[in-house]
Amino acid sequence: MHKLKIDLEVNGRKISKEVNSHYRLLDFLREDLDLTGSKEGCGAGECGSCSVFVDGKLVKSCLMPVAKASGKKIETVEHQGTPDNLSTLQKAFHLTGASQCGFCIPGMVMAATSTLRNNPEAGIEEIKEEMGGNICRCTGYQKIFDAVELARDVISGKLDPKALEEYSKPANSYLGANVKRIDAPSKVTGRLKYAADMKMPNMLHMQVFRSSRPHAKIIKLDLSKAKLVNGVEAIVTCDDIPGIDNFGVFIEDQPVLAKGKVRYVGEAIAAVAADTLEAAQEAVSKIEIEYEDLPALFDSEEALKDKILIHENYKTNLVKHIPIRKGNIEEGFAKANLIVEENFSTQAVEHAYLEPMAGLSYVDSDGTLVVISPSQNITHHRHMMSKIMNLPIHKVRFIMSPVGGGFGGKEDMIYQGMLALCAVKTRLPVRYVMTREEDITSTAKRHPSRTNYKIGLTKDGKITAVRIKMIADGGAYGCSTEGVMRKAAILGAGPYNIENLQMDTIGVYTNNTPSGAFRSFGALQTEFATESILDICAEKLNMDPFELRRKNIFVAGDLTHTKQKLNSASIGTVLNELEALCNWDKGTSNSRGDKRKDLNSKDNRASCFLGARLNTKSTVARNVK
Amino acid sequence: MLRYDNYFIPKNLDEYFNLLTEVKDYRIVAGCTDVLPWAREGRAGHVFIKNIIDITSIKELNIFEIHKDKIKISATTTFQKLFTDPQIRKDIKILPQVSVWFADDQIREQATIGGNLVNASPAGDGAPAFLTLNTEVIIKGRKDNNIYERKVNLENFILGRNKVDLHDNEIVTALEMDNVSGYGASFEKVGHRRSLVISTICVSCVLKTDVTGKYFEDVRIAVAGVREVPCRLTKTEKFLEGKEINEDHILQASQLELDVINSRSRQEYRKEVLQNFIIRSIIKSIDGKVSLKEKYFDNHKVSITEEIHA
Repeated sequence: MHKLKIDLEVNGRKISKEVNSHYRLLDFLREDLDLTGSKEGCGAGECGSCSVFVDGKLVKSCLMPVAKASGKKIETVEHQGTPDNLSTLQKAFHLTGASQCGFCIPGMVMAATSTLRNNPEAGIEEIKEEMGGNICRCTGYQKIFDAVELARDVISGKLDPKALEEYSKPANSYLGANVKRIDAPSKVTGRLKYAADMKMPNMLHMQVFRSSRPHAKIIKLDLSKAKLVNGVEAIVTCDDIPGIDNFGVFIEDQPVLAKGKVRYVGEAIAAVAADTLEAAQEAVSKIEIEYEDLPALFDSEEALKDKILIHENYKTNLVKHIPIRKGNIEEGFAKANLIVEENFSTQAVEHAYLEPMAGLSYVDSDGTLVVISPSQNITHHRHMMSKIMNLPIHKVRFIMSPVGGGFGGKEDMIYQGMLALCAVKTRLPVRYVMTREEDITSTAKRHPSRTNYKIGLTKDGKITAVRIKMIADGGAYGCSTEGVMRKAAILGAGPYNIENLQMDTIGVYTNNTPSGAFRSFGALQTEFATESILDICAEKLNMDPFELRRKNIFVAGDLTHTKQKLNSASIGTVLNELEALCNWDKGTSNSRGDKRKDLNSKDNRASCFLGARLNTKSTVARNVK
Repeated sequence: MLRYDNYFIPKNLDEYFNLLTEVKDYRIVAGCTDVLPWAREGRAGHVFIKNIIDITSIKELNIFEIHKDKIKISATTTFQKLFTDPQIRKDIKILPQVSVWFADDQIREQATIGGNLVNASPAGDGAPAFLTLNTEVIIKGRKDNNIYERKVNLENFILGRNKVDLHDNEIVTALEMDNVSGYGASFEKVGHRRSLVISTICVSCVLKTDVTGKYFEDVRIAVAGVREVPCRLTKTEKFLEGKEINEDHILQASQLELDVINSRSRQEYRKEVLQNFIIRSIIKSIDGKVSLKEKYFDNHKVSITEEIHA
């Protein structure tokens, strides 16, 4: 690898070093200096997890070749404060609970520091605008903005520094209390090590060869050229699995590495472990494959016809059908004054946790296989791994590294199997860090859905019957589809007392990216249809949408959709609170247009705009030279 | 991932031109904010280029001249400089406006105006703003050991998608454009989110009224994101020049040139937005002196968001 010499100053320390010439500043900081507070969330300048100061200007270190940094002064999050001596901004982030998963937080702290350096009196719109290059997936930003405003006021002297310590002391309940998060100091200072930040002596780097076809037989897989690449220690395929292959959250139908055929674009086929990332990448590029394309299925309704089978041995593409029957819908619809039937669809959604999938695996001195990864489901993973690697359970250890956001996306054991295979085969520690693109291509998504919805109501708004049929695209493997269908069926009709209900949720296999767990786990898709159709019905009945819901909500004593008797129900209180909080202007949604009084009212957020700093009175122009 | 063996940072034009003749396989970079995301999976994938030539330290490119009629600034000027420089903020309001919509603060610290134009992305934000300033691209080249200079009007410089009038032995050194002190300006852009977003459509408007403030005198409007090459809306501009400033004239003008849209997708949507943007940018450029909200709603039933805050 070609090297170049750089001289620079990092966090006040002069450094003169030979570095890989193609390194970005971010690679240099993380790999050569172990300053892993700067994270790589996207590698494309989109997320800001890697923001650092270069000669006092905040930049994204993933967009700067390290050669450009020569002769410059670099300042990273490690220079801002330490866990026992936090900067004012870091204290504010701690207090407001701005650090949740923590992965974006070092970058956020840097962007906030830059914002207040440029204008110590920055208003909220300036703060939002100037921090626009940093993405957070957990907080919804409010707690971050609260932290920056708090720090600004403390720095300017408007607020006593004691304000940074105002945690509440929970008396009887932790609900609603601002409790000191014990993990926050390590996150706001960038000291916490996520899986991609970990290193071990003699560690290898893993890269994965993936399918470019949605549905194809693998005719030939030629690893010979890849094996010749300098530094390659092992290449593993499905043939290397010592135990019983296949994993999955509900149905274990997914092979660690494709077995004879691929079922979606991005499916792992072979994994390479090499002494450098570059060697592993080069080896992957030298793997040769011959496919025989099979007709592919991309449509969930088409899948139900079973003309093309994704998993031949199942004889059907149906993953799970959950039916719920309550009362008699024919009788219910007969009593209705208004019947509305609509179709709703939702798309696949990526979890977009800021931390891309990453893991580290090694075999301990006593032969125990260890896997460190941000898994949301380590106990289940451990059991599956024991079976796959044909190891007794006490010889498999899973360590959960800090999860840089999961949202359900890290429940699947999508890459840990490959890591374990490489570690066992090489007897060396192996690390794998997905790129953002790889993560989006290969990991599970929210189930895309199509829902046919029929609802009957009396003219005064009482629901008489509901019929719902949702078909969900489970993609190539089972993952969490069964559980998602169950929850969609149980919760989908909403918190409403429906005497006559027919609910069917159907999950199918296709050649799309597998669908898995995602926040709300199926309830979102059907409840989206339920709440949308209630709004449509409210308009047709000329009723206030809150009123329509109040007429139908569960109260104590009602039977749920699965006929469980409720001892209590809080939805009425929730609705009242909501109505008050949004300053709801009573009436049907379609009747007041832009005259409605709740738009832009207090506590309702106006749509965002840019240009707060274009005002020539802004101090930005004065401060930035 | 972008891999390379050598990263050259020439200090002057001689070194630069020498490099061009000495090394083969090379790519010229400035801010690098496009080349690094480009060399990733889904776009160019893993790319190996033997040599990278970084032009940001060439001393002859250290140009920043603001004159009464013209300004001349280096091709390696960053967008953040256009956003923060007090003189530019005062005289050439369209430049801080386009900058605030350009990527984000951090990328603007690196991204250069020359790089933006040379990349010639159909959705590039810089081009329409520079078009409305009658920008000339200053190019230097070396032939038989003699350095020459030529100037190309920006309209002629961009030839197509990622294609510009620039030869292998040349470099864009600076941009020269009108100092439009006293003109109103507005930059309009829509994309999927606020920061870091590629334009679905963007419009730049720079205009001047006569001394009475009642008539349009010099109107310049340019659009990008809707066709291969960004362009000025000359028919629209000519129609307005000399006309009284009123809602009828603005409305009529807004409909004249919607056929410039030749995008690969969502043409109808872009037409609607373009018309709204023409109207809004004119109104903002005259500080909201005319409001045509009522009439426009009656006639068109399309929404226009009042956002006069610039």
